[in-house]
Amino acid sequence: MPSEISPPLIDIAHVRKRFAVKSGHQTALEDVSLSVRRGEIFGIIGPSGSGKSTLIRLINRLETPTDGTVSVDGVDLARLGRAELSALRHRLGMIFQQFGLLSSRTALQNVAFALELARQGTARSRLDEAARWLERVGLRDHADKYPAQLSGGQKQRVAIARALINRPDILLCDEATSALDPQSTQGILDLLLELNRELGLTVVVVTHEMEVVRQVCDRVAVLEKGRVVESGAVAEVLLRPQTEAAQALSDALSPPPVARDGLVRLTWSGDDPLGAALTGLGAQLRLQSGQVSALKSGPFGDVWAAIDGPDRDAVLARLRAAGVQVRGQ
Amino acid sequence: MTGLTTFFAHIDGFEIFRATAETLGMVAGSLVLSILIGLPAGIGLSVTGRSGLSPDPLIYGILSFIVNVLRSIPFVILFILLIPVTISLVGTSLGVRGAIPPLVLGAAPFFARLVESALREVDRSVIEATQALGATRRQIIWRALLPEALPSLMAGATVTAIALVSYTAMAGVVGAGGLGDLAVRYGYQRFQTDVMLVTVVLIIVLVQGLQMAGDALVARFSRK
Repeated sequence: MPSEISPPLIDIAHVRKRFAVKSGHQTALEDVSLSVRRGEIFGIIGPSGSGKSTLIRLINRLETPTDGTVSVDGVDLARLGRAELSALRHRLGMIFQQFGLLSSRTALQNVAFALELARQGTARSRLDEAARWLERVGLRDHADKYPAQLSGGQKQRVAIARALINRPDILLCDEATSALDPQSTQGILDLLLELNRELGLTVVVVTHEMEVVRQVCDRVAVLEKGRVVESGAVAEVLLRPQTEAAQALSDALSPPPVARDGLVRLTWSGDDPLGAALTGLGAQLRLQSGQVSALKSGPFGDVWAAIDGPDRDAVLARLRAAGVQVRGQ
Repeated sequence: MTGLTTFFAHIDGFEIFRATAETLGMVAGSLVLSILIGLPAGIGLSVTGRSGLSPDPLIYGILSFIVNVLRSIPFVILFILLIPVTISLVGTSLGVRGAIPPLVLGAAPFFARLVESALREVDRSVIEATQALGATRRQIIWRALLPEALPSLMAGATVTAIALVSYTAMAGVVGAGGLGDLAVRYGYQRFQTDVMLVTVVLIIVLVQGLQMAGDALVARFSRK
């Protein structure tokens, strides 16, 4: 676990971003502050138009803030000159929804491209290193194919290898799985988790899919209309959503049943508390809807259930005592 | 047989060969120079344009204005207007040499616009990803934009070469020599229909050949 005391690797403080449009300006981000710790996977989630892509693009200065500061590893990005910015970007990998691969280069040459831009090694050594990275992302047999000959998931793997070959500390993912089918999405998410675990890579993930946050993120910020409305550990935000936006996200994971009269919604983080709560009491619990799934931090349950019997209140009391959120009784 | 020989009575093999060589020389020479001038101009238009790498309305406005002016003057008139400039540049306004400056000034702006649109068609996500990899502006242009646009650039060069064939024919009317000159002096002014026919066929063959060569190059470099 990343230490709480270490300074944040990425620090965004009171950022506002306005774009000039025909009728004056449009505010994309308003007083956004958040920090990302070294070694964590941080999610930024929100509907389209919420400003999340603008937010992640501040981190490698593809966008500059109108007000406020963005710093990476203690360095204020606004102070960087052109050469320093290039150097910083070599240390900050980024992948995109549309992959951004050069169609005129093979997979291998695309990966080597990043070393070429950073003026690292010789032509030979760059290709050797690129081959190692392609193998790392599981594409050894596709090295000589052009992007047009690869599937979406394979293209994103090439993009990941290219983003990581300069050994960055941070990988930024802007809707990296949004153009992929469920199976490829799963493959990419597993790869991100593996890279995070094995290389200690810090990952920032922008997505509109709660499923992505559920599977890979340690912490999450919920963005709505340019503001961070909620942020914290994923389990915490799902367990005690404070805003409608966060509630909607947790509902997206466990859609409430249509008929929910007399049902209670039980939400917990950690091991399943239901069995223990019923032991020795005169009550039955019937699950109607919902799911128990694995967050990065462990199991997480969100279910709708009917609880009947003389000891119903005692069961509910036990559940609350065990840390279960009980709603809608 | 005699009918055919009579019909082609005015055909002088050497003249035709010389005229073809002149036309080829004018097209080749002016194509190379048009690319050398049009490519940087087109890159400039694309980079300084509104959605370019570093938008600069002033530079874009100036470049665009020059290109528009040169492109709006009909080629024959451009040729005549440029005679003093041509003479000061190459010493004559006649022949292949005299034709090159106006041909280049006519074709380079045309090619520049084709370059601009070829570069604009490069996928934005590619440019953005290249920027995110820490590329300098020069690296983005030389290592991402131009290689990605290569097939379109070759198609643009093909279109320009074919436009130059038609320009050289017009230049022939005002003293540049080549197949156009032959067609006008013999075919038109002396009513030698056979000469007209042969030159037209040769021009068609030339255009066909250029298009086929261009298409082959585009296919060779296309990866989409």
